[in-house]
Amino acid sequence: MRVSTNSIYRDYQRNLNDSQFKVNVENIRISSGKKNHSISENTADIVDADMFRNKISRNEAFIKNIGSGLDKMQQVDNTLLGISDKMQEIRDYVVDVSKTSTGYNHFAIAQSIKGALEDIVNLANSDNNGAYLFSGNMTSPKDIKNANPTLNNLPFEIIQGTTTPTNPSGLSIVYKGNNEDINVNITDKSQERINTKAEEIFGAGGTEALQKIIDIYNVVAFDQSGAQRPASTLLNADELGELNTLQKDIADKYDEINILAAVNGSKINRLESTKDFLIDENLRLDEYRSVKEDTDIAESAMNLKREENILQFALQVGSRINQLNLFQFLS
Amino acid sequence: MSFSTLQIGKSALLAQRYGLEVVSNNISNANTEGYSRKVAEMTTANSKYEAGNFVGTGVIADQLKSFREEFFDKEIRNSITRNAGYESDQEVLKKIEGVLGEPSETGLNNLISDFFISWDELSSNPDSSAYRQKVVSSARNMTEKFHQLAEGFEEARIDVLSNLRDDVANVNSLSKRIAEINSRIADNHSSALDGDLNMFDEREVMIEQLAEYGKTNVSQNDDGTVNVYMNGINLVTGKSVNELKLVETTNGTTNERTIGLYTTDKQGNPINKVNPGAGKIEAQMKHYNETLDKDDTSGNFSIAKSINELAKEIAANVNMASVAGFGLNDTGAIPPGRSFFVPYPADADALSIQVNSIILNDPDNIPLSSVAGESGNNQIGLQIAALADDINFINNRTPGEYYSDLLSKAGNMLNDSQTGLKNSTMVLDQMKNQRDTIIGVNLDEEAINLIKFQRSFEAAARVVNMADEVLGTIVNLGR
Repeated sequence: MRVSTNSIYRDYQRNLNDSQFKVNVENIRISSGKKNHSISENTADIVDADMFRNKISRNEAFIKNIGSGLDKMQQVDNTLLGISDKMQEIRDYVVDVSKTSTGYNHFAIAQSIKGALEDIVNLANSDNNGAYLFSGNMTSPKDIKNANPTLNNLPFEIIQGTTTPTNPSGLSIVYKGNNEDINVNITDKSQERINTKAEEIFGAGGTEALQKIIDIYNVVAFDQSGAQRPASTLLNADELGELNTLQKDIADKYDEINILAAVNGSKINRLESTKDFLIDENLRLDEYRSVKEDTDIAESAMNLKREENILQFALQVGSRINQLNLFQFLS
Repeated sequence: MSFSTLQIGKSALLAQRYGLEVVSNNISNANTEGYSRKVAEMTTANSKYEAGNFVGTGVIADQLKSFREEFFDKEIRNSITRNAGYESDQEVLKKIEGVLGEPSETGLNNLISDFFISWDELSSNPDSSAYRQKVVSSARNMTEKFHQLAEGFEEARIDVLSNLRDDVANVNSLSKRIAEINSRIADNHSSALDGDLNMFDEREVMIEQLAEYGKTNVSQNDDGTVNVYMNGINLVTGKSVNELKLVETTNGTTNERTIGLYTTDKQGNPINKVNPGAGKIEAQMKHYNETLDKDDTSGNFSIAKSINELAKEIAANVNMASVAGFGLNDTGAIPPGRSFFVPYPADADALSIQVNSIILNDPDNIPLSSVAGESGNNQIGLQIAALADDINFINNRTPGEYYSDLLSKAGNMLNDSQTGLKNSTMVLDQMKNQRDTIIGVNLDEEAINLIKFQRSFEAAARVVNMADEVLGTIVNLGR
């Protein structure tokens, strides 16, 4: 068969181009660390790698959400512990006052009860990074309406009102937040409520337990006529009965707060597990992403060596083609 | 005797010199595209009867033989058409790949994902101005990418149109040149110039160039001319030409701009629609009318339309949630009806989608809450973040899946064109090699012919020399 000069060079050029292209591809793979550089190279792998990367980013956002939620919930845990301690303190005061043989200064104890109440209210007004913990989703001071008789933009406030026979101190508690949930996404399929609401802690209207403490204060600080109780005066049977009922209510609330703290604690544990699961999942996803996206250096290095050898021989063949010509031998 | 020997020597000298010229011409055209090798055909001159015997009178070399193979010419034209179609596909799809900027960590898919993630993060920190700013920033990154894609696709489409115009101008120019050669061949059909076989080579080169633009068929006429057809439509009939024209039409209902190829009358008005069948023009028209057409109604894959639909759905779904929401400083029971994206309520597309300037200027206006005055209310944010996983978001897919689908389609189209081009190039090269086994120049063969004619020329010169000596001897007889 005749072989034309053009066909020799045509085949040679095509093979040389192919060879140079393959060397270039392996060079780019090794230097960039990425397996694919065009959507046509391995579309399925590129799409998969993209999907894994997005899933990893999403999980990272969930991990961040959980971290932020955990921070709040741990603060809630500490605050509930503080409120619980104050409740216990008030119960202890009530027990002291109920002892008939002692000569306690009731008014002084009443002031301690009032102080504990103020401490509880201060704790209930705690915030995390500027967002109130127990005011539902009205977390910002500007959400809290400050209108007469209230004096501030805090969710819980002790108001000094007019004295009445049933409320000789004239004290009352106002709750200015709401009882809405704050949920956050913790995975792509689940949400978790991260706030603890006023009604859960303090009962109906978010103030019931606090009002009971005021009632205790009224009983301890004032006699039945509404006058300030003298230091050495003991409580009569009716007052002791009323105090006992109130003490029971406070004890119930104390238990509920402890249960609430336990629920919050178990939620913290659950969120930490979810966070660990997401971290593990991300490690796994990153491995899959790497398989789809990153260069297998060993494989690429071998491919590069092979393609370089082919290119080297192709170039040698090219130089021989130029020499193998009858004109070279004609003088 | 001696005079006839001198004549024989002369004819040999002329014939061998002719042979040398043909060989030299072959060598000089060894790399000329479309050149077919020539061979000087030598025949014995008529004998004469002398002294009772027939004596030869030398050699005649006035015929030139060319080698052309119609079968290979036809197959090569078909391969060229396929090859050019794939090349055009690859050229356009490479531009699309460049516009998409994939694979990359800053591709649209990642930016869409970042946008929805930012809503997730903001929902977890509803009153954080940093996270509000992040939502705005990620939304801007996403909308800018949409703009970049829409502009890139439109630029690629304009580029395709410009190429198409050049292509049609080339088709018309080639048709004219083929008709001119036809004319020269027909005019000299019965003359000595009929022997200028190079005109046939030149015409074949042009027909092969024409084949790049569409499916080309050729029929031979008795006068040596050819008729050339593009997928059945006559482009060249002997000496006359049928010019083509691109016509752009706009659909009054959909505003879709499409382009078609038409034959023209003498005034240049379009007459019949031409389907090139394959090749460069058909490939580019497909990309202009479908792949890059944002208003495409063909039902085939259009990346520009798909990206537009994605932008439209994102804007519509996010807006549907956001208009029911309240910003940090909003009051009252009725939502301000603030859309996150504009235009609204008109549909947004990839080019027009923008973050609402009210939100851009003050991220506190992001409608995150379902009730006014509840800074911790993240209901709207959660709704928007959930859109990332909504399997019915668009065409029964999540936004990420939808984009992955269109990326796969574009990638597979590019891969198909690359594979097709590789295969068709190989077939074309093989066809050309096979044709070259017949028509191609082999320099070794020509070197041998060169020696052969050189030696024969030297021998003929010796004959003339010898005849001269004999004549000299005769002339000097009797001195």
